[in-house]
Amino acid sequence: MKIAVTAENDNGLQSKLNPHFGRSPYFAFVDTETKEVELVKNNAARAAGGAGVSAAQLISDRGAKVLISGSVGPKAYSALSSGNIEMYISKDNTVGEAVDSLQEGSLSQLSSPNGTPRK
Amino acid sequence: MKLTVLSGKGGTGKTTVSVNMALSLSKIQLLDADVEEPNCKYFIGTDFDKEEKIYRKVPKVDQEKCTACRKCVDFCEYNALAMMIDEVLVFPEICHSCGGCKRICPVNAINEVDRELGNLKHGVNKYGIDFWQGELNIGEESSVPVIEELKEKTNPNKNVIIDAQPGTTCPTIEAAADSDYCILVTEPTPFGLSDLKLASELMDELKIPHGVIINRAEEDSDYIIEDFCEERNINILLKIPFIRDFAHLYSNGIPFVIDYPTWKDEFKKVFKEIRGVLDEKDNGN
Amino acid sequence: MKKITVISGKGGTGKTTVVANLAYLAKDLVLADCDVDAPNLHLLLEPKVNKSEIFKSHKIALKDNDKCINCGTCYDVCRFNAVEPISYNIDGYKCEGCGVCVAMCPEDALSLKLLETGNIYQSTTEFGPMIHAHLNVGADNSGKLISEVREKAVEIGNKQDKELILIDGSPGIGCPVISSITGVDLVLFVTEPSKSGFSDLKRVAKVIKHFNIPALAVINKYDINEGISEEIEKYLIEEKIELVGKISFSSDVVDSLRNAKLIVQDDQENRISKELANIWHGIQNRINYN
Repeated sequence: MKIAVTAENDNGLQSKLNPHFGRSPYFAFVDTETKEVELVKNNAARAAGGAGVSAAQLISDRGAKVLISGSVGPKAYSALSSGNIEMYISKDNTVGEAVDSLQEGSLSQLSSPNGTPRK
Repeated sequence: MKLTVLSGKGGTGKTTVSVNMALSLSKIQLLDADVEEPNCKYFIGTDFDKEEKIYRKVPKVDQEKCTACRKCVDFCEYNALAMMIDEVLVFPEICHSCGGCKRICPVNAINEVDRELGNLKHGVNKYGIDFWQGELNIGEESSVPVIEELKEKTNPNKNVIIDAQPGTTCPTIEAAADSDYCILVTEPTPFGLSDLKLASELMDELKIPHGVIINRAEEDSDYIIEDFCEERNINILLKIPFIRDFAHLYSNGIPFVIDYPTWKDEFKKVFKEIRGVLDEKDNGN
Repeated sequence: MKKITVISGKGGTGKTTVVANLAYLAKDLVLADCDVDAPNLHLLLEPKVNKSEIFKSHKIALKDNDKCINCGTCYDVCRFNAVEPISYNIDGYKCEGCGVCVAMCPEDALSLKLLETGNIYQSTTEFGPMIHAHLNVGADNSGKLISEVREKAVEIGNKQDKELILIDGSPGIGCPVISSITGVDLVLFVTEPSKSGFSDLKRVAKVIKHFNIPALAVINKYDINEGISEEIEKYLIEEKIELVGKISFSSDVVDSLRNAKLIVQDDQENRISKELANIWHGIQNRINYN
């Protein structure tokens, strides 16, 4: 399964988790089977508007089934939901830690935008 | 005559000047073009007898006809469209209504529907001023189409005063664009000066004759603006001194010329001066 | 790193003055001026510019006159009245860079070009680094420039180990305001007791309400109209926005402003300075910052 994680820099699993989604500088795509990590520059960040929508398109096009981010805005949330992409909120420091937390089941899944986790 | 009142900075007194000037002159039409936050009504009266809704077009996708080719998603410069699991999603809030996606779709799967953008309201007031207000719906971004519609209400038989949005961006430009003269309102502080410079630069670019009114003027600080105006040969039309009672009246939505009617003469003088400048210009001086 | 954005809805309520004085009280922080249309914070904080970058975000259509056959298709398809009749020249102010004329031109005579819309500055002030920007006259703001200003502020804050970013927000109620407040720890409303001010406060509060960010409010110049001040206080209670302070109207503030000085720096015994200091304590408590 492919997981997309918002990343501040290009440093594999050590990349810092970025608190925002739409204008996150990078996305880390982690394959849970092969353990491969790919860091991709987020072109959506360059957009004058609708960065969240464009970022959602980007990660969907790359086959991500799960997103881990610090927060997700309303339009991005809407787009990702339509794409059946699960969203989780993490306050971990790095991409690697966030993926571990997800697999341990300790991350909250979003049921509405802006980081309001499901109770 | 069409006069637009503007300022580089918010809070300098545009609405104060627009309203008080409107009340001092005859045959006046007042247009509130500060459509994000129209405030003239608090001074003129909040009874409206006519409302016209303004719409813009946004796409509606027929998912049955759609072949998921993504041409529309790739075309849109504003990211208002996305494709998720072969379905096209539309985000009307960020759509600019350009009509491009409809044109580009190879199978005519996109139509356009109306989305409310804002409204124009006609006000009834005890002063006999013909008053139209433009208002942008919360959440909408495009002020310009609302201002364009508002300007259609211009009465050619009246002197028109347009209260513009503060700043120097497109909505202000739209309000000022075909005016005969612009009044730049400022305050005698470094903030006022800094933003006056921007507004004046804009006026030069648009080639619109303009003059300055200093609001909250004070003897000790007016030089901040006066020096600049002298340097750039910009006429100072009027100085409205800081008077605490004026501020109090403003806060209660009372135009100060109501309580201080001698100020009407001052605004009449300003109007006459502007009329003089325009006549000179017409005579090719 | 805590982030606070100061907004007002209406211009002229004293937002920038409050930000500058809070900067003095906070002593060591990162400042971000997101009022990019008409930036004023630099007038009070006198930043020394270290780096200036050109910002490009706005696209407009560009015509190759050699290829143009004057068919007028661009004029017919443009929704923004950005193509002049007869000459078919593009009006740079009205063009929204949608690309429709580019797509429809039978001669491929049009293309979209990214314009220089302004500058972003990385500067140093007495109280810490400052990121600010300036849009070219006539250029329109977008969430993007504000996002960039904020991102640079975070970057430099991380580099220099700062613990607080104070953002002078955009006036109005549109996208720029939203870009100023997403993801921050606290929103501080600075309002004034006038019908217009109160109305604009309500409008902007409504816009940002669903972002669920903790909010505090300051009523500036409250004694200009104590009746409306009270109405605002009632509204704040209803909206669960804590009133963290009221600042009296004083010509001392105007004097300081005129001389581009900070009243809390110049005259700590002044009533206004004390009111501001109280406000700062209130803010610190709310975000657990010291």
